[in-house]
Amino acid sequence: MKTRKGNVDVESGVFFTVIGVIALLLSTRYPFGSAARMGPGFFPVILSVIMTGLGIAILISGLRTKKPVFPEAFDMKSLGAVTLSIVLFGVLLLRAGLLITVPLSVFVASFAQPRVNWRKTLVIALAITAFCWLVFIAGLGLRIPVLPRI
Amino acid sequence: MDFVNNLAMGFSVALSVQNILYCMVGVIVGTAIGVLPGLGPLATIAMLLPLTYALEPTSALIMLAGIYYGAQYGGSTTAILVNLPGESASVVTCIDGHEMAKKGRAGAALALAALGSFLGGTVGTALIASFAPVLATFAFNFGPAEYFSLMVLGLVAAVTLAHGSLIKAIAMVVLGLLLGCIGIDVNSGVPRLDFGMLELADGIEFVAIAMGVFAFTDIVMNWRKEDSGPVEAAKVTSLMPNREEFRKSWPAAVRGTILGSILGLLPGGGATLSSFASYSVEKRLSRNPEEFGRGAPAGVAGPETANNAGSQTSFIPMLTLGIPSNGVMALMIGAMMIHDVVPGPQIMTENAPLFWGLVVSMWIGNLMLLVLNLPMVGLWVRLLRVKYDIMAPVILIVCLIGLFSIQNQAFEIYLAAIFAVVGYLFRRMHCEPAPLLLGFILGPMLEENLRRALLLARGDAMTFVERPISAILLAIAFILLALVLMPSFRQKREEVFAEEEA
Repeated sequence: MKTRKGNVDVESGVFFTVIGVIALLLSTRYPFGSAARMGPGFFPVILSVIMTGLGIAILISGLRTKKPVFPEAFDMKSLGAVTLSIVLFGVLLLRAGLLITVPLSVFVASFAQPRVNWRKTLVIALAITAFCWLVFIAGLGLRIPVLPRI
Repeated sequence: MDFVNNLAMGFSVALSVQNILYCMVGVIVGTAIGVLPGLGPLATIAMLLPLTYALEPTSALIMLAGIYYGAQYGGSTTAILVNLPGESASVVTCIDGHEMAKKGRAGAALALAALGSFLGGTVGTALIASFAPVLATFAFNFGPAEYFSLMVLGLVAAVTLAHGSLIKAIAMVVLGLLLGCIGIDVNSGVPRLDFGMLELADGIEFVAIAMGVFAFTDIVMNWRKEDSGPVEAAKVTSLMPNREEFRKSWPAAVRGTILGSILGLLPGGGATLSSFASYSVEKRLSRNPEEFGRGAPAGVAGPETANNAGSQTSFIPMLTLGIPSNGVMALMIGAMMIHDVVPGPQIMTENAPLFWGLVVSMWIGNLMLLVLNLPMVGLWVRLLRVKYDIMAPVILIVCLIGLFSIQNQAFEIYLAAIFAVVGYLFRRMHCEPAPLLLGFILGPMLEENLRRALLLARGDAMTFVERPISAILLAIAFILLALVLMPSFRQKREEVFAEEEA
């Protein structure tokens, strides 16, 4: 086991502060208006200021605490597998159609498991593909391409 | 007799063949996901939302509501039989429910839970029917200042009652409000914070956020765990509770109903809070508190009744004021908006059949759950054998197809991918995602009411404290915040939630 390090409050403090500052920079480009006539920038600017303030407060409380809460180890493999599978689905569906995209996405997402039983994954992928075709194409009649466009 | 007429209208809507069917589908799906650990009502409703676009709004809402309260029933079944809470509201049911099951009283515990749930659900539904119109009449006098303060109160209450760090929950709400700003500003027509993407002109699709931070993040978090092997379920023999168990349970169920109904009304309340509150009340009131944790029937009946009552009454602020009290209610508001139904006091007049049909269907749904579930316990337990390595890809693909079908484009899928990563970061940083969804849903309304209130007051922010109703609402919000920040209360709150997580 690796030693656990990090601090959830410091991390989230930085996260909220960064988001707050970015939002503030983006929102100040829109007319602020006045309280009586709020411009499109009014609400987002106020929110970004609050967000930045909260982020800094969380960060400070995280830095001052004596008992930091450790975050869980970052599981790049599981997160990567699922995210890649989602993006792949988006890229492929219109081009390659349902019958190719669904099993591929299931296959990629399977890497999120600690151990993969490939035979089982293949069966599951095929079953889900059949299920999707039955429910969404044959049943609900969604306008989704089934086969690749040639 | 308006009330009778309204109920009659409700029955005629809810008893149409189509709506009965959707109600049944809803409660069955709800029970199923309540049984299955790793799939909760939030993720399920997000997953099924796009598929309801084609339905009639009333049927869609009846089905989605059924999923929510059905999950409460399913959750208690696994809590009692396998000591596995299928759903967060049934965590406390595990304690005494499973102990009863170990003593061979599994059937009795299930029956108590089901009867209690039915009692809570019935009273909760009756409360909606009688209380919602009153609240709506009251809310008709609300101007933009009152609405703004009400939403502030709603958000404050939601975060003070949510678990985990308060300040992070507030930050999540603000982040949700900011995300709600994305898209064309309705007043000036200026596209805001859209990073130059045309697809964001109408704002972020909220289904993409919900699926990303709930469904997809759940998959990442759960799928990497090792399979724990088959589960052992307690045997169910007789379903009848004996006289002794009845005697101990009914006062708990009555108290649970009252407690749940009140807590469900509160923003941030709902099923989970109600069941925890009921358990601690029963333990404190009991003449022999040492029974609790060793199979006390009151420890099953109380919380189970309370969580159902709470899940029903949490519909009241959602329907009449448009204020979601928890994540599921935020999704319900989203579902209504998709169908151009705006929740708020006008719903009783503009969408009367929808409102009364939904209310009556909830009672019918509770009845269905009682009749369907007790005899089918064995079947539900068998669902537990479904492994997560089958469930995860099914959830994933159904969500993805749903996302695609919203606009028949891939953009929403990419958005959801981003929110899956963000959702994972939230979990890692111990930030609860539900307040973000509440902020996102309320954001545009909050801004609009702020704008109008300030316009009417010529820019004078004192309007919010000069108008009495608005001042009272803000005062309550302020007191809530102050209470939570007080050291003694803060400690207590952390204890309660630490217990919940254990």
